[in-house]
Amino acid sequence: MSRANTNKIKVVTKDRLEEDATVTTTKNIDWANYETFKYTLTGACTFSDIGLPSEGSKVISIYMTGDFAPTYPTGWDVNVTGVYDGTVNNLLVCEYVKSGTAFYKLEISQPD
Amino acid sequence: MKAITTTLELKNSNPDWFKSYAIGSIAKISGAYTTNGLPKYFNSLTYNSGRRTDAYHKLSNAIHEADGFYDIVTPSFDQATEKLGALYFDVDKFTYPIVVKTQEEQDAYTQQQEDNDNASTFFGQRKSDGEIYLDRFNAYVYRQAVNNEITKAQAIAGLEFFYDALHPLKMGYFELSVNKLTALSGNAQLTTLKNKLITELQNYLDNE
Repeated sequence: MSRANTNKIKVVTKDRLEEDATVTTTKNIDWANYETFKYTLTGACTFSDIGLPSEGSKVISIYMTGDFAPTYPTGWDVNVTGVYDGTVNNLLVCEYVKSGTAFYKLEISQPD
Repeated sequence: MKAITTTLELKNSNPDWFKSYAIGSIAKISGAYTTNGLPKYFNSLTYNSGRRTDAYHKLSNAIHEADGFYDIVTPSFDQATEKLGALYFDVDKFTYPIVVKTQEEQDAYTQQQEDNDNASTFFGQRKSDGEIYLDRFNAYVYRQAVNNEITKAQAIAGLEFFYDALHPLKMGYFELSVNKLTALSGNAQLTTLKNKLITELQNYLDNE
């Protein structure tokens, strides 16, 4: 029996949550340390990715509200459905796929 | 309301918004996900260039103008003799040139105003009401014949008797009908009907 490659096994216990109730100006989205984010915009904000997976793929969920303008990280706009509406709660589900040519898939919805 | 001059860069960055506009043309963005001519999502050329911004309309006017979105200002003009030309950009706004109307256009405008003034509305209502009265009268006479309360010959005689007097109602000339009815003389049955008609038409005029 061959030994399993533990580097490629995703161990799921619970999703890690980052909360920030005063998001404004700039904000890093930490893909390496969180899966779920809860943000409240208090001003226009420019988001950036950090800790993107170097291989495979990952899905994150961002719950966000606040009637201000978010600017998404580079590449998020290529495959996107929905539009952010800061007057209500929004759910942004973003998948990053590190294939030959890495790409994102972003879905924005207002679940309430 | 805002407008923006279409450029190649804008078309490439925002195909959703500019696909129906040629380069150099003035775009007035409208529809879902817009407000006051501003898109609710946009890839700005000057604000976080190359990235998508949602709630773009919430950004400052300075950013909108840096991207090329400027207010559309409609100049005041005399609609009787002037009209607006094609939208163009003028320093810090989009606006329209004022063009003098041709004589034909001025005449058409005057006629349109007259068609819509109070007098036209008044006579339009008169005409409509007069046609209703005439239809009711005709239906009343035919109903009596159908119900065998009068003969068909009597019905036709009655219609003929009142025809000239009631015909002005088609034009809304209630007063003329009243005068013509008053001048009619016929048998007792027709006179009763005549007086009933005069009373109804006079009531209409009194309550007008």
